[in-house]
Amino acid sequence: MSRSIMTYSALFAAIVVAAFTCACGGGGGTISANPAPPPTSGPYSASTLAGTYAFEMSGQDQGGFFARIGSFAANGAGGITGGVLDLSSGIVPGVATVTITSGTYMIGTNGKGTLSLVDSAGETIGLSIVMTSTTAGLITETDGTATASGNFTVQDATTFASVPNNLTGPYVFDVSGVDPNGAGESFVGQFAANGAGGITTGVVDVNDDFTASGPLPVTGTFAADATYGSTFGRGTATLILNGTTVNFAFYAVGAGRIRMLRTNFPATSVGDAVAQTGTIPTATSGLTGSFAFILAGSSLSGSDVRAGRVSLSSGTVSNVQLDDDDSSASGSGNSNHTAIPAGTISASTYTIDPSGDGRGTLTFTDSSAGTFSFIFYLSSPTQAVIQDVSTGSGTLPIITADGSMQMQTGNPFSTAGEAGNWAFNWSGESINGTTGILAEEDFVGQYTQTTSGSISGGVDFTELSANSVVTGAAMSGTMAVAGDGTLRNTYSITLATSPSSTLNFAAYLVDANTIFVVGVDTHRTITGSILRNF
Amino acid sequence: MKMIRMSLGAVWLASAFLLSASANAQQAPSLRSGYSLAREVNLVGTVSSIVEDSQTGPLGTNVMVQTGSGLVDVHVGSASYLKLNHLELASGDSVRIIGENFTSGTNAVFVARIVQKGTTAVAVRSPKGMPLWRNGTRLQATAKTQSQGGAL
Repeated sequence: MSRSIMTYSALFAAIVVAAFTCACGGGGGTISANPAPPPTSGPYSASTLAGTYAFEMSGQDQGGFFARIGSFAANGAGGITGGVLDLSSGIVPGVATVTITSGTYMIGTNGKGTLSLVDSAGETIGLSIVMTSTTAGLITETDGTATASGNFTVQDATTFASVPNNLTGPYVFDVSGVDPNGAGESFVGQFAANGAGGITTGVVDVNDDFTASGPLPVTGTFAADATYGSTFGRGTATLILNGTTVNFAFYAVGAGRIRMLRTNFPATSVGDAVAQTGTIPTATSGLTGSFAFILAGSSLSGSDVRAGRVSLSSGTVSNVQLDDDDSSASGSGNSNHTAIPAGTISASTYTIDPSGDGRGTLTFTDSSAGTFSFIFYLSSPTQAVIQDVSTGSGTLPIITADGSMQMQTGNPFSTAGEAGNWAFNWSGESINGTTGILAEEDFVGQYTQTTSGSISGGVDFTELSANSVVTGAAMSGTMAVAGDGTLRNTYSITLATSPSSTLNFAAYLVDANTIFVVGVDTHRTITGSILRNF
Repeated sequence: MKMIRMSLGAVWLASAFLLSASANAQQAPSLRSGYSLAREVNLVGTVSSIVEDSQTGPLGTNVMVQTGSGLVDVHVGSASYLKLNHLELASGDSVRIIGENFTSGTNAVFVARIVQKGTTAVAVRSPKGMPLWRNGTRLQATAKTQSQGGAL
């Protein structure tokens, strides 16, 4: 089992961990940085992390796409006292269940810190983290052996003894990754757990390798893990998707949420199932308002990430805005950003399943960019998982992607209203002009925004295209809210690195505490979320 | 994983030889129209140059291939992925590339599905055009906001 992590030590040997040196770095595309000033305020400390936390992350290692989920126990004083994780990686190769024996962590007053997890073989996973609340945070791997993004959330350990019988009622799930052939796949759906380890009914939409399944039936079972179930909430699940068996390891956050990793290697998918709450609408009249969404996946040209917003009313979609960062060229250079509408929007409709399972569809056609189509499942009246099945100018899907959709609330927004302290995690793909490498990059950080929109803070990131890991770099930037803020806004960040780097985004404001961003620059596709952290 | 891809590549290569048209004189579609096996072209030529950071096509590595009918700009995905699968390209190499012509903005680009040099063939896209160099869809965890937060 230890092989899964132990092998990492030989990976990415070319990566240089950048220090806070002067601008003399940069050989071979590596990056150095000016350090961010130490935080001066905030509610966080080592005592913030106390208890067991379920984490989930995915990214790129030497074996390609990989994912890991697990649980670690923090003692509230900077120590990790135990845990377990499941890793699906081409390096294993396969899926390994690995015991976490020890580790350390540090959290600054602003919530930004580090976390190291040591396994039973003595190998260490090094992570940069930022707290988004006193119970949850965001993760980027910054140990130079891989790059990945994810998050963690506190578990209710008092529920572990009840797993799986405490899983009862309807759940919405979103699991995605790669199929056995290495092509992208996405599962979104809803199932009903019977409180006795069974899934009695359900429905799923699969977009596998640019092929959309339409709604398919789901049944399945859950079982607690005899070894790690009572201590870390671990279990196993089997979903039968229209007759096809898909196996998972899972970690219970509580009765309302499990974190799932597909264990049918080489297929590797990761995601969550969350309890459906509130009154799920059964007609379009029950789903009205403005919604922001964010998606990530692949299209023909490579990485494809999207964010946008729509207004929904009585089956009609209006006020469409979408930013598509799709890795393909348009115009001069390899600019890869398309702002929708690019032409005239038509055929804008949405549906909602009358059965109450929360499934719906959303579609519109841009006369220049083609048809955009999505499947969504409501986890509440204001929040959904969403799968992209857009057909562009053809008749079959040209993208496999999924993400989140959330009602915009609290508007009108303003630049001053966005002032405060924010945590972020961005992930994407970039190509480095010096190294010529096309690879994944992941960022995690924290900053303060003033009422005038000025931003300053710190960031850690792994940028495989530059063979670099950078920790504690200073960053600055601006947030500019346009109009009432419910449409596209402008967000720009400059990293105090050498060479310097500026990332420009379109920003969609969800509520007072959440922002979706998607990149608009050449040489990278990137997306992520920004969450107010105090 | 690597061995699986190689064998899949061989299968797809064989099927492509059967299915591919010898030439495709029709106007190239846009990337937004999606990949089609029916429009595939079997390109044979010599590598003229390699551009790892292409400015004119999708992000990634482009190879300029000299064919009997002229120079073709081919997007092969990622040089790192080809190298991982034991295929390294250099100027002067004889290659066979199966793919499809597209327009990308104002540019023309030949999107490779299978790259073959000697007896080594690497599938860089699935038969439906899905990029394989980044191991398919990579849904960043950040896009799953429903997985954030601490709701129990």
